[in-house]
Amino acid sequence: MDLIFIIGAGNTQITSNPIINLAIIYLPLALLVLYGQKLQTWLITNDLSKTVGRLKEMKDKSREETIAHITEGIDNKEETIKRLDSFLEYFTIMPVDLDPAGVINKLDHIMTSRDMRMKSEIQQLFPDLDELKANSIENVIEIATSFNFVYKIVRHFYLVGKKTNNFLLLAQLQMIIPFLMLQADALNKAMATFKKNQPIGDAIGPMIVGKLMLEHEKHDIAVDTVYAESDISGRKTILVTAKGPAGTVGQPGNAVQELINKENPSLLIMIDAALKLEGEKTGEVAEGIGAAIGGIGVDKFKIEEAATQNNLPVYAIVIKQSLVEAISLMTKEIAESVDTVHDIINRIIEERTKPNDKVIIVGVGNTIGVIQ
Amino acid sequence: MSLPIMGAPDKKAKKLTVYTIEECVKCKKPVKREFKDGDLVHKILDKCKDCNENIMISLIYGEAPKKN
Repeated sequence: MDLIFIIGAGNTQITSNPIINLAIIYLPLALLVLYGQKLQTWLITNDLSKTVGRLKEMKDKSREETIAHITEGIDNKEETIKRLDSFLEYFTIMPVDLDPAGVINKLDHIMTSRDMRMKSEIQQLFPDLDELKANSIENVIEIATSFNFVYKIVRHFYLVGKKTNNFLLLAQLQMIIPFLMLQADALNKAMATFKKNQPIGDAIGPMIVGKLMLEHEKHDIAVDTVYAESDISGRKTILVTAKGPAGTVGQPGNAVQELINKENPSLLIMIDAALKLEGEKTGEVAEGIGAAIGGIGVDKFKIEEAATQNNLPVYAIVIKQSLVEAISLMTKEIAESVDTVHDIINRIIEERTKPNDKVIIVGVGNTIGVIQ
Repeated sequence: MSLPIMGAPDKKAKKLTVYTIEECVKCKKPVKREFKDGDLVHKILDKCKDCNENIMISLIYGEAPKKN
C-alpha cells in the first residue's frame, strides 16, 4: 500500500483511505480524550507500586539489621525481637497548639519523657550493656522506627489513592516520592554508621568544640551535655557540647540557658551542620547571626529567649552538607573544616570581644564517635 | 540543621572507604589508615616514637576510592 502524506491546512491524512486514517489518527485521539486520565492513573499507580515495594524492602532490611545488632550475644532473642517490634510502633502525640502560649514547655516535657522512656526500656532490656553500646542500640532502633513510619505513610496514601482511583492524590504522592526516597536513602546509610559508632556529618559541631575541650576538666550541666572552661586570646571561654562518644545531641538549650544566667557572657557562638542547597559545596563554612540549631525548636527557643533577655549577640558558624551527609558517615570535606572553623572562632573572639570578657561556644549536633 | 530538604537521591553515589587519621599531639605528624572497630575521634592510642607524646585520632572520615 502506498502511503501518501498530505499535510494541508486542517486536512491531516496519513493514507488516502479514510477508514485507515480514522483508525490511526482519530480513534486513538478519541480514546486518549476519553480515557487519558485513566491511563495516566494506571501508569502512576504502577510507578508508585514499585517505589512502595522498594521502601518495604528497605524497611524490612533495616528491621533485620536492627535485630542482628541488638541480639548480638543475647540468649533470649525471641523476647527481644517482640520488644523491638513494639518499639517500631511507638508514637509521640504532639501537644495541642490552639492556644500557643506555653506550648514549648509542653513540647519539651513530651520529648524529654519520650527520650527517658526509650532509655529506661533499653536499659531494662539490656541491663549489662555499657553506655556506648546502649546508645548505639537506641539510635539504631530510632532509625528503624523512622523507616517504618516513612513506609507506612507512603503506603497509606498509595492505597487510599488506588482505592478511590484518585488521580490527583496519586500524582501528588508521585511528586513527593523523590524527597521521601532521599530520606529513606539517608536512613539506610545512617544505620551502618550508627552501628559502628562512626562520626556522622552532623557530629562536626561537637568535633570542633570537643577538640577545644581536650585537656580541660569537663562538668555535666544538662542531660548528656557537658561544658569545660578554657582561655582563648585572654577571654574566658565556656565550651558546651553533647557528651560523646555515644550518639546523642544532649540538651544544649538547658545548658546554654543556665550558663548565660550564671556567667553573663559578652558573646555566644554556635557551631552546627546546616543543610546545603543544591549546587552548594559540601564542607563549605558560612558565618551568620542567630541560633544555629535544628530539631523541633525547644532548644532554639530556650537559647533565643535567654540571649534576648541578656541582650547577648549570637553568632552562628555552619558547615554545609546534604541531608544524607548529615546523618551518614562524615565525609573528608566536612571533617577537614575543623581548622577553618577554629580560625573563624579566634577571629570573631578577637574582633568582637575585649580581654577578660566571657564567651560561650556551643558545638551543636550528634556527638557519635567523638570524645571530648 | 536548619534548612529544608532539597534535591533527590544521588543514584551515582559511590561507596565510601572509612579512614582514621592518627596524629601526634606534639609533632602533628599525620598517619592515615583504614578504620578499625573501636576507633573514636580524639581517642588516645599510643606514644609517639619520635617525641614520646600521645598519639591521638584526629579525624575519622569516609572518602570515595580514587580512579586509577
